[in-house]
Amino acid sequence: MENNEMLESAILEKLENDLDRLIMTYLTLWINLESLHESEETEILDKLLLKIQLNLFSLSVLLKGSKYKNLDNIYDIPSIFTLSRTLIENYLTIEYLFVIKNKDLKYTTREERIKSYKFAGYKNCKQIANILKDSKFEKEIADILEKLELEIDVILEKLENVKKKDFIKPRMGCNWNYLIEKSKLNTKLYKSRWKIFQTMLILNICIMKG
Amino acid sequence: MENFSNYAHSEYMYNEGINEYISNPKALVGRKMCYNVAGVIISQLIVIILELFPEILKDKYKELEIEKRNLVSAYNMLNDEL
Repeated sequence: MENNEMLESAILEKLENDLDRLIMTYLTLWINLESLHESEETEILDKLLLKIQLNLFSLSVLLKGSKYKNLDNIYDIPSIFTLSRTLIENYLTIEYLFVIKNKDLKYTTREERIKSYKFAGYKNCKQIANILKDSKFEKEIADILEKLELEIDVILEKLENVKKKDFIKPRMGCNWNYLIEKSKLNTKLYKSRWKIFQTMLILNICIMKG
Repeated sequence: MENFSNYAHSEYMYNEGINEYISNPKALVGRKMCYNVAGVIISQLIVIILELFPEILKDKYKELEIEKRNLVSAYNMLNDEL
C-alpha cells in the first residue's frame, strides 16, 4: 500500500513537472509571436491563445490542490473537469478556424469560417448588452453586426446551397464530436476521454458518492 | 451552550464530509486524467503554432526546433501513458 502511494505520488509529480515545462515552452512561443498582430485573422488566434493560457494557469493551480482555512489539499474535481472541457473546446475552435482542411468542412474557407465565428460571437455580445440594459454597448455591437452581415451577404452570393441561418450558427453548426473527429485529437483514447467530459456531471456525482 | 455545541458538531461533520470527498481515491484518477489531457492539448497546440508560424523556427529561435522534437516525443509518451 505504501509502495503504491509512493508510485502514485511520483507519477503525479512527473505529470506536474511535464505540464509546467510545456506551459513554459508554450509561453516562450506565444511571447515571440510578433506576427499575431498583423491581421484580423491572427488577432482572433491571439485571443484564443490567451484564453487557453488562462485555462492552463487555473487548471494547473487546481490540479496541485488548494487550501481553505484548515482544509488542505482540496481537489475541486468538478471545476477541474469543467476547465479541462473548456480547454478542449478552445483548442478545437483553433483547429476549426485555422487548421482543419476546407474539404472537411464542406464549403468554407478559413476567411469565411472566421466571419461566421465573429458574427456568432457578436450576436452573443448583443444578448449580454441587452440583459445588462447597456444601450451604448448594444448600439456599438449592432453597428458591428450590421457591417458583418453585409460582408456575409456578399460571401453567401458566391456559395451555393448555403443558408444564412446555417452560416451564422456557432462553428457553422459543427458539433464538438464532429470537430474531434476532424482534429488532431482523433484517437480512440482521446474520444473516450471526451465522452467522460461530456458526461462529467454523472461522473462528478459518482465521485461524490465514492 | 447547547447551540454552540450543535454548531461545533455540525462544523466537525462538515469537515469530515469534505475531507472524505477530497481524499477520495477516485479524485486521483480524475486529476491524472486531466493532467494528461492538458499535456496532450498543449503539446498539440505548440506543434500547431510552429506549423502556422514556421518563421519562428527559421529566424532567431532555431533552438525551438529541438524543443519541438522533444515535445512531439513528450506527446507520444503522454498518449502511451493514457
